[in-house]
Amino acid sequence: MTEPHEPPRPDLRALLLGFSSVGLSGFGGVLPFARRMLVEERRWMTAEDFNTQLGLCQFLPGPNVVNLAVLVGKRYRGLPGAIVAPAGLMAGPFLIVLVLALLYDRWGSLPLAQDMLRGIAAAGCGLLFAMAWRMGAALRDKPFFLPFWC
Amino acid sequence: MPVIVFDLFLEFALLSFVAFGGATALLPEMHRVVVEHHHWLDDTTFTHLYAIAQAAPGPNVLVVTLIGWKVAGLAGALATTLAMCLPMSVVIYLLIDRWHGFAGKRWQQAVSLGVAPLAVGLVFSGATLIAQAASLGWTAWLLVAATVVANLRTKLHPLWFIGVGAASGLLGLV
Repeated sequence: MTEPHEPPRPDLRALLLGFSSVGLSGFGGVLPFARRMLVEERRWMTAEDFNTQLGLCQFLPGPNVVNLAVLVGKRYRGLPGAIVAPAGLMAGPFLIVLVLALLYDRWGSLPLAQDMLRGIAAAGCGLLFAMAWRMGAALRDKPFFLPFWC
Repeated sequence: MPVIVFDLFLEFALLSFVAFGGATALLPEMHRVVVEHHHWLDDTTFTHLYAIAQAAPGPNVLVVTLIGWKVAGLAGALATTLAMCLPMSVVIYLLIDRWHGFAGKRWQQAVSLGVAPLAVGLVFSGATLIAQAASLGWTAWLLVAATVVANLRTKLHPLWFIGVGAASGLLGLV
């Protein structure tokens, strides 16, 4: 990485909006969206930083993305940030999932609905594989991991 | 009613402490607790809820929200979701200060280095689990491969791939 990384300091509103957008746009897992928002769009973290922090979140039990939100929220805004970031992440999807539960009770047995869900699952699966590939590529530069990578 | 909500909270709080690799890796254990032990749900309902959670926007962990809802309504949904997220959130909040306090120390670098490739493997296994859970056919695997290549080569917003997936499914292609 040649360009100097100046970490921007998101305020509570930015944390709430940023993680809300992650929560609401991810299908079949939001990790690819979290990475996109944190590393590529808002540049709150470098790619390597993201890998390390996510590694810690996955090293510990619990929902990785929620842990990541707590961690990023605390880093930039302390306790309020650590509450606002995961709340933003979960609130929207929580409500949507309840609406879907009601819809499923009524129409879930229709073949058309099941066909659509299968297609979405396949695409979401591809996004996860692509993300794992990217994360692996970020590691490849470290000679330490070469024996395991090759 | 309040008793079952309390039981839900307790069971999922315990589950959250063994949720290594996130909710996707936790699925068999959730199945054991919810279907086999407590008989709160039957097999078919459990599978359907997992499928909905995959198709819904939001973190994978929301499958626990759906389970809570099915078992005990809104209170159940809140109980399972909080139980799943809160304990480790508190732990990581307290732990991360020490983590960064030791930044640059040799063992901290060693753990960071060691944990990073673990994450790559866990994301790979999560993707594989999703593929198995959806029991994808060969056309679906083509869609997966195309999504991987297109996502790595272009800057398209991931929602485009979801849209293509939904359309392919509706057209009966996968």
